[in-house]
Amino acid sequence: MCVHAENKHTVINCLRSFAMSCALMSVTTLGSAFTLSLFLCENFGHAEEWCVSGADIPNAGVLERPFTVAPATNGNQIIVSVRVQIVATHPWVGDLSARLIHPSGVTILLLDRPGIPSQGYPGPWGCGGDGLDLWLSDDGTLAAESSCPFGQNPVLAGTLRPSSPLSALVGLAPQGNWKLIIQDAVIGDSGILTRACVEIMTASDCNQNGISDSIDIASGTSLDINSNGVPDECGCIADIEPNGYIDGADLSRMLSRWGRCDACSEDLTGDGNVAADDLAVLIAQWGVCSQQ
Amino acid sequence: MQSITKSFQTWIISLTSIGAVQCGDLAAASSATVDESMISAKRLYAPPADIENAIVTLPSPRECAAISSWAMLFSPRTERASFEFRTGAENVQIAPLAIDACKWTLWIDDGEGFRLLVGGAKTKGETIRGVWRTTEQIVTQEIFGCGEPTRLIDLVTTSGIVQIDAVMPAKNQDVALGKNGAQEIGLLIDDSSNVALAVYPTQWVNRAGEDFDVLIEARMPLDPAANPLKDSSLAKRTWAGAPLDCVLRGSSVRWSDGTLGVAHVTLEKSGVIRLRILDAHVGDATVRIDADVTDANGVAWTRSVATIIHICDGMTTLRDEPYATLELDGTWINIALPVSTQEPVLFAATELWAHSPRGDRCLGWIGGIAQVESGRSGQQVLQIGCEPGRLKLAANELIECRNIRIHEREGFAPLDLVAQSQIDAAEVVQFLKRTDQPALLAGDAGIPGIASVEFIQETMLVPPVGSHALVLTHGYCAGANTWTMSQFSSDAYKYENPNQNYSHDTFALDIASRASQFKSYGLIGHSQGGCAALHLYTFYWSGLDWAGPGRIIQTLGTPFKGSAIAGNLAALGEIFGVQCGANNDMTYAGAEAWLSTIPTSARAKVFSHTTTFTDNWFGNDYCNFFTDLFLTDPEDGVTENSSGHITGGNNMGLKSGWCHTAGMRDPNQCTDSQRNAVLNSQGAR
Repeated sequence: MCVHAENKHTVINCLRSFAMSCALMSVTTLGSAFTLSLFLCENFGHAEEWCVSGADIPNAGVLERPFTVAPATNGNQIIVSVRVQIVATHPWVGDLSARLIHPSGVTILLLDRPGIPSQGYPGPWGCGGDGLDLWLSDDGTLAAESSCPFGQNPVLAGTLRPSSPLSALVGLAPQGNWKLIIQDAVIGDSGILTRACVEIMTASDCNQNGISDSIDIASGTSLDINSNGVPDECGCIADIEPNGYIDGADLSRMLSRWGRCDACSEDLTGDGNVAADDLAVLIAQWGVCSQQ
Repeated sequence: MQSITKSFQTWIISLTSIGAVQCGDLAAASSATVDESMISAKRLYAPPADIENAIVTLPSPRECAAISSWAMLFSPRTERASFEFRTGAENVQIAPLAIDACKWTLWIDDGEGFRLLVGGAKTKGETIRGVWRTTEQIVTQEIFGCGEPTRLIDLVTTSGIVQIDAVMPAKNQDVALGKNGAQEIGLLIDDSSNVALAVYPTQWVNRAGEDFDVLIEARMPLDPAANPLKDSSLAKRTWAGAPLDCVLRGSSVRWSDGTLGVAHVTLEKSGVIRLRILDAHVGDATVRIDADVTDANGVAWTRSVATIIHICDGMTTLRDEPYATLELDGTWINIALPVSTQEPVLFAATELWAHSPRGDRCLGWIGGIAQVESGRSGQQVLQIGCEPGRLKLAANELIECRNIRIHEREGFAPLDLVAQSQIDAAEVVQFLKRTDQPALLAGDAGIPGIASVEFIQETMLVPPVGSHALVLTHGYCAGANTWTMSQFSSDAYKYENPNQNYSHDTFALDIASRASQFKSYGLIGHSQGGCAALHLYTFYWSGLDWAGPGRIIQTLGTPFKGSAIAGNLAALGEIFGVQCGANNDMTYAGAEAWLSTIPTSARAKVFSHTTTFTDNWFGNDYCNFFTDLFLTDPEDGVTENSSGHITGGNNMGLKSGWCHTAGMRDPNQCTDSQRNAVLNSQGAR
């Protein structure tokens, strides 16, 4: 855990234990009765939680909480999922809206005055319940906008869906200056933001195509001939004589093992033969090996 | 969204839709704006105790009978109107009722020939040269909506037959048709005897085009003074002995369209007369009965009853087969009651019972205001429901509906009743037998889309829009809101919609509309305003549900159980014009039908206050002379104490020295600073 002092606000960066995340990659129809759904799971990544705390939500005003995300992991990282926790007291939740703004300007509408527009319940002023203690996640069964269980306190609790999907942040780089904005729209009631946390799950994106490496590999976008979890275009599998360069030493090693071999490092394509295809890969990577 | 605050200044609220909701989770948001707000109906559930204690059961019509221990005789407005009555009392008070009552001369014949009645003398009953000099006082007729006073005359007579003739002054004959179409003159007679006449229909549902029966019986209270909080009900009050003999002097039925009905009279049994009224017309019928009742001593007393009987159009019925289907809808158990109707919205309710060879077990009562929908096979249904956890069944039990009923939304008159119906829904029944039923989620939002009521929003708003307020309402047909606003804090809002004759439902929706400028509010209801507040809280979601802490509904002088005045005002329409008109909700029968739809959980939100006149040791005390005749003491001139509190509510007591409105003998109860301070401090916002 590390603590940063930033813009007069306390920003806490907590490294959370990794939680596996799965994504539906493709759906293939097999005949008329079956579909094959391919789920790919991130097995290389981590989640970090960035929290802000302790501020008044001004009556008919705006609370703006900037925070800087500086991922602990080096290399090219992208967001694969985001959840937002908000814990606040407020006597009329229907007054509140909340937005999360990514450094690139992409804005997620987390809350939009829950209960408005009213379907008759809870009434024209939206959800009149007290307080929030919830996680906003695209995985929520109920939408925060339309959840207002009568008599529950805090009225918004558990895991609920945000007004606009957090998936809009997927593929973006996590680092930079974010903002969490909470607005009270009506004169009369005010509240206190106890704390808010943004949990950002990231994964490596070495080829910087906006898709995590594991998905690139699993979907066939990238090769991972040596099965090290790194797309081959990012790696230096041809650096057989590891010195940081693809050069004559590597060519010499390959030629020395020309022909059939089992699981030898010179078989770059993994087909049991050191042959022209392996030579082609080596030539393609010739030069400085910068990815590893 | 910030524009919402501004838009409230001038918007027209369209309460365009109703959805059934309880423990609300909202429906998916749409693009509707705030000024297209809707109001949602609640799904009601009452526990078995509410059935056992008759909270949500429809009483018998006999329990809601109109009862009278006085006479009010009518005669056409001719040059000389004659009234004859029988009395066993020596002291009788009479008052002519007419828009020009003080200008009529009265003549009396109590067996000694006609003499002119002249009031004002100190000596009672003194006849000098054909002139009967007696005491009288001038009293207001404002309670009937008439600005002109009348004469209240004291008579000292011998027992027997008395005839009073009223002679119209020649110059008044040009008002023969009277103001507002008044065509009759009346004579009110109070002999202070408790001999009572009761009238009630034999059944709750009376339909246009059909005949219906009214029973008339006379009784003597055992001891009317024994319990000052005695109930006005014919069934609940203690009566001495069998029905008294009574002879029908006259009856009339006036349909809501102004035409007169036809009735046949038969003797039901000793002391009970059956009046069969033919070919009923839709609307509120005013039934007037005059009878001579003979007491145990053989003395005859003339009595009159006026009551309102609601006639439905007969187009709305519960259909024969099957009566109910049970469906699991998300987290709700829905019961669809097949109906045949042209109405878009009705109230429906049923008791639910678990039935097995070992016996029956009550599961509770469900109901609510519901939209008429299309059922699974296209038939019209009303859906009511509750959470499945309310209906857990044992392995050998089946579920059935009992006492199914539907009511009109306006006035809550019963439209059809069915005693019992099996429910055949094997899958759902199996679900209810599971012990591992899933935990309840937040609920659903029901179905919006019911046409409702449109009200115009006021533009002058105090306190601020979007705040939490204390709403003070007036009552039925009030000319103004008479709460002393200076005795309340600045967050109090004065609801004012004068001279209206609203049903409880329309009144409640009007309050909801006008008060929707506030996020939440508690209600202080005067008179019918208290009924409207309870109606709003019971049947709809509104700012009341979000108010607190404090008392959500506080009432003052609210006739929850009805008032005898409702029927009599309708009858007096022939004399004074229809004024604000009849209101079935506030008759004894209409009020009991309405109250039988309100569970204890809603009643518990009511804190009811009542008042009565100062009872001096000397003389006959009252808030209003006329209504004192109609009502059972203690009363405030409109509302009897027994009607001003409800079982399951919080009885905040009866206070003497205050009357219902201004112009009565004691001050207006709405101006009591001591009570208003309590209402203000305790009211939820």
